[in-house]
Amino acid sequence: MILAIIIIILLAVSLIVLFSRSRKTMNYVTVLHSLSIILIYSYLLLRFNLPISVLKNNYLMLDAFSIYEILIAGIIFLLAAIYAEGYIKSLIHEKEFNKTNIKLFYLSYNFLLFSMVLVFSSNNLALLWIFAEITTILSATLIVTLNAKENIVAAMKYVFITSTAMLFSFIGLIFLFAASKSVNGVSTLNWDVLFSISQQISPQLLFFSFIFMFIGFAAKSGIVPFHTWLPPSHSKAASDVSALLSGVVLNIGIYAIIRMYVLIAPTSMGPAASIILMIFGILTVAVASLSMLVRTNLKKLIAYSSVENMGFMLIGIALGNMFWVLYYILAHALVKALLFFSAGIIHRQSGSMKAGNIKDILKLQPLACFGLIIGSIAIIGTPLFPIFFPKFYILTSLAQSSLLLCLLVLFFLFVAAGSFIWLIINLTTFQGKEKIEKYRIYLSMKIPIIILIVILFILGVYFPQGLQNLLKIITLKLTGN
Amino acid sequence: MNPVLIDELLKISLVLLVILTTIIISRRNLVSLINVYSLHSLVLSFIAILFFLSEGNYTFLFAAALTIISKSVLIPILLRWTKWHMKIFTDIEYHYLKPVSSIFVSLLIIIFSFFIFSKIKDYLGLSSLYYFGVIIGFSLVMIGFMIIFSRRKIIVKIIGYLVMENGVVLLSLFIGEMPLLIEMMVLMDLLVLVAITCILGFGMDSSMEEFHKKLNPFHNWFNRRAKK
Repeated sequence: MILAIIIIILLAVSLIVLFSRSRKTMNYVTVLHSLSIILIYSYLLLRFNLPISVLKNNYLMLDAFSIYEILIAGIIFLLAAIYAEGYIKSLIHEKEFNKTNIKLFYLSYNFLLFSMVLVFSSNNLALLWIFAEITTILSATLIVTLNAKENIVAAMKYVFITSTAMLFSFIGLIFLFAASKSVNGVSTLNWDVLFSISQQISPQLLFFSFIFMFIGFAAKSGIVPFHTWLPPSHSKAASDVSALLSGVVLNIGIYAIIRMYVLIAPTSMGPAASIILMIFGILTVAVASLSMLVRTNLKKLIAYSSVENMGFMLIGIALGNMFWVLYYILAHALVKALLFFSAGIIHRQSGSMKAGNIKDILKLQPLACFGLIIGSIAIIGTPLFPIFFPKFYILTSLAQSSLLLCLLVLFFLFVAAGSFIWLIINLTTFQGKEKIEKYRIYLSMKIPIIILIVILFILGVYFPQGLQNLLKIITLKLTGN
Repeated sequence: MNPVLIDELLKISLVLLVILTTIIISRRNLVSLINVYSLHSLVLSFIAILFFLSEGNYTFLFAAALTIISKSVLIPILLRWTKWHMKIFTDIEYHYLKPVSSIFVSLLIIIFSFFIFSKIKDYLGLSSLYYFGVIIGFSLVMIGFMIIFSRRKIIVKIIGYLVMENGVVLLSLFIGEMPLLIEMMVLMDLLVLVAITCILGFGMDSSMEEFHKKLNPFHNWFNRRAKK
């Protein structure tokens, strides 16, 4: 029933996009599509007893964790769709976006949203794998729609690296499938069944399949050493697309890693899996923050910061601190959307993302500049912003297990914070000699930025009870405490 | 069919796969590289047919048919078309490994796979022939991975990716019964491949303007539909 509804909505939206001749209509239906996803899944969350089976044999199933991820995706898609109204218009006006690509852009946008919903609803891990691959293709299409040759190279790198790595997770799936047979004679890849029998599966085989699954999904979320595709594709894509890629598509990898980790955590190989996640997490934070040091390109800096944050989430998962990792996912998505939206406006104004070329930005685009400053302060984990809490609590539990590692991670976080602040100060205070004309920014580009700033301020000082309960339920389900 | 004969044929096919992989590693001529890949997939589908004969499960027959159609016919045609389009005939660019050292590394890969699978052999509960098949499958994946890393031409990288994919199919044939989902996964891989080749064929070796000119027919198609 739920599946039928979202398929009908998708079909209707695609038909309108295919046959409509006005870009505005296409954009409106895209906004409505995201809004309908948010409404449907909020209704399911509030009114129904979870989990709900969506497809026969429980291939697709909704539990609190899936709905939480779908809602985050819905919110970011909605804001990006509102932003796209003005942004794509000005891109077309500046001839940076070919008019003929409009239909392709909006179709991929809506299909990406649909496949994101399916990724997070997949109870069967094989289906999750398939839908994750589909999101790769659709994201690559969205990157390619801009009028530049570098975009094709970036998209190709993205598809090639992630799908090669995803083949390894396919091997992991095969082993998991074989391992599940040893328990009651029936092979399965359904996560709920695997979760209930995980302690009876041979831990060695489970560990083996975990490693392979990790390789693929780590590449999907840009964990070092599979991160090389991320900075070019996130910085070359249009800003609304970058917000989606960074805030939502990267979550797929982390989501799958969490699902796999909770299978192995209670077994005797659980600590070994934690160590692997910890090593890759720290490595990712280290490499990303050191690469951020020399950046002068704003969007590339934000992209590297995504790599760093994904690494930090891995550390949180390794420590078993699921509650704060889940909150981190939400906070990171919101802040990244704000940063990319603001960067998009700055790019419109100055035509460049490089530090030396952006002039008088504080005077010309005060809102974007404000958004950029707030976003930068928030992303480095300053108090009074939502990323502070998860960063603080994850670091505290890291300090409890190893003070040395905590200091090491803290050092890299300082490096990342330093490079952010250095670049932002450079960008906002650089004044040109000649007078620069103010670029007209459409209202639809400003609205998402204002909404995000307000949400960030509220979440920074107030943790809604409903959200708290939801996160507690998910944590309880995943870890049992 | 006689089970002993099937076992022998399986062994022969596995050895044949290893030999063909060695040829893929050492070839520089793209035409023969694509032909060898096509043969490689044919041997793979032969193995699937052998599985069908010994177990009578139609899924294997389906998998074999799918492999023949897609991997030994369609993809080689697509690759030939891309190659023709990009006007390259030989690949003599290597990143780190020359063919001879590549073969040596592949040997190490097979020994390495043997080593790691010996750790989990008991948990899988496989007979020695199936165990051998799993090792060869995994080695093919790693060798494909090595090809991707050591060659510079993208079309050869794609062949490396395809070798990896054949390895994965081989692994899934030997490890457990094939659920229908695995076919879907194979199709997904094809989709990824088509996406890569399209990007390649349209964009990589031609300039941006040409890329959009080539994309235009699709948009015209959309627009025509819109006008109706």
